[in-house]
Amino acid sequence: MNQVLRWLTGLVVLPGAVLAATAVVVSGWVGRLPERIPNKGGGGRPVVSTLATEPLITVGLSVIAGLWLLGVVAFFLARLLPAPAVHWARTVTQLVVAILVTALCGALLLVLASALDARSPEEVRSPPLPLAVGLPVVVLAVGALAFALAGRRSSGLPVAGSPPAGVVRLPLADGERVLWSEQRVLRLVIWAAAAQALVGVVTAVVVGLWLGGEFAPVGLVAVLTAVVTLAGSRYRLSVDEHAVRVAIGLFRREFPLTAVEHATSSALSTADWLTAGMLNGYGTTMAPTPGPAVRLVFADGSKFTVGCEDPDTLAALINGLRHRQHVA
Amino acid sequence: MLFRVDPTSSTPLGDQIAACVRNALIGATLSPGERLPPARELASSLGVNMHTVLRAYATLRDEGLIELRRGRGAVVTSAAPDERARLADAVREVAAAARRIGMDADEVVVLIRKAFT
Repeated sequence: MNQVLRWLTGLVVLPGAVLAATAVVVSGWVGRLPERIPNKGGGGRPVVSTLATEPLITVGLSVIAGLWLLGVVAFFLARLLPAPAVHWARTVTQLVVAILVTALCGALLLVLASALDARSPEEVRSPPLPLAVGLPVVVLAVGALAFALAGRRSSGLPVAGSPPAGVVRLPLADGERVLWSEQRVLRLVIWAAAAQALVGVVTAVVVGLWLGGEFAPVGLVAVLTAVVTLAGSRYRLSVDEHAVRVAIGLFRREFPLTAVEHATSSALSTADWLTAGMLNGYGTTMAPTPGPAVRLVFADGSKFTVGCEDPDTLAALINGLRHRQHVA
Repeated sequence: MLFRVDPTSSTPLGDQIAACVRNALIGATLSPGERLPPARELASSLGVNMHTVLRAYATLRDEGLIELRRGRGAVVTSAAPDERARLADAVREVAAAARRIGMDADEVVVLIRKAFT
């Protein structure tokens, strides 16, 4: 499915359908609802205060529609962000809008369903169980659909021509299939995570003894950062005839091989590695440690450096694959 | 490490995958503790059936080169293939060569018996 159509479906059609369905159901219920419903109490307990039903419906649906429109505005404003962040900002917006609209519409239906056919606020029952149980499931399903509709970020890179004649190529037979796969566990990151967890536990004990048990969960903050750090302890690089994929923990980049003009063997010194973001732009290097690397050169002249254990073989493989694609 | 398979070769795809791992171990481009790619990813990239990859991994496990653990995938356990694994590899090559020239298994066995005497 086309990306514009995906955004349109996830941000406009999906929440719009949920809102429209809610409006249709509620308008059908209006005649069966009491003039006022409980604000505090009800459902078997004494009614302390009440709300007018019709303004509640009008305001409720208007607020939901307003949030939806706000989400659409945020979606369009996301284009002002740096290129790598645009897709994720739009995905999060689409996800939040879909979940919020569905949850609020569901909550409104839940409140009104419990007041159906009641003549006074005192007769309002507890919300129907199937609706109460089904609501979180529907919210999760709509959220998953919105996330799936956002799809993956396209590289946005132009299709490259043939690789230059001088580059080293790995000879590949017609039809031969290849995969370069590299997986590393970053022990330094694991140690850092372990240290954070230890600090968290020590903090919890010290703060708990010093200020009282209720302050002990402060140490959880360090433990949570340890979990997040631990998630970044894996480095994966794979290259096949379709794409170059690199990931450090949850940060992933994927470049279609057709966008790569050629690859060269390279090396990152400690200084290069530390200053790569500042000198070449953030997001142009993905290497877990200083050392050997492969530099991908794209058709628009931009470059991307990935850490690799055997850069000569990998660069030759990428050039070989590109040459074969071009010849075919 | 580099996986290369040639679908036009008479050597079964699973054997080619296992041979890539053995060669990487011999060439020290793969060392104990490293993980092999998940079978699904490898199958998808090489355009082969996932069961073919799993069969190759099972062969390597039987040779004591890798360990298969649920949730952890395939982890290299041995620095280099032992003599038995190398012999198994050589026999596969002999079998492939015999197929190419139209010899059946019995004829190959006769040749091997002769070589033993």
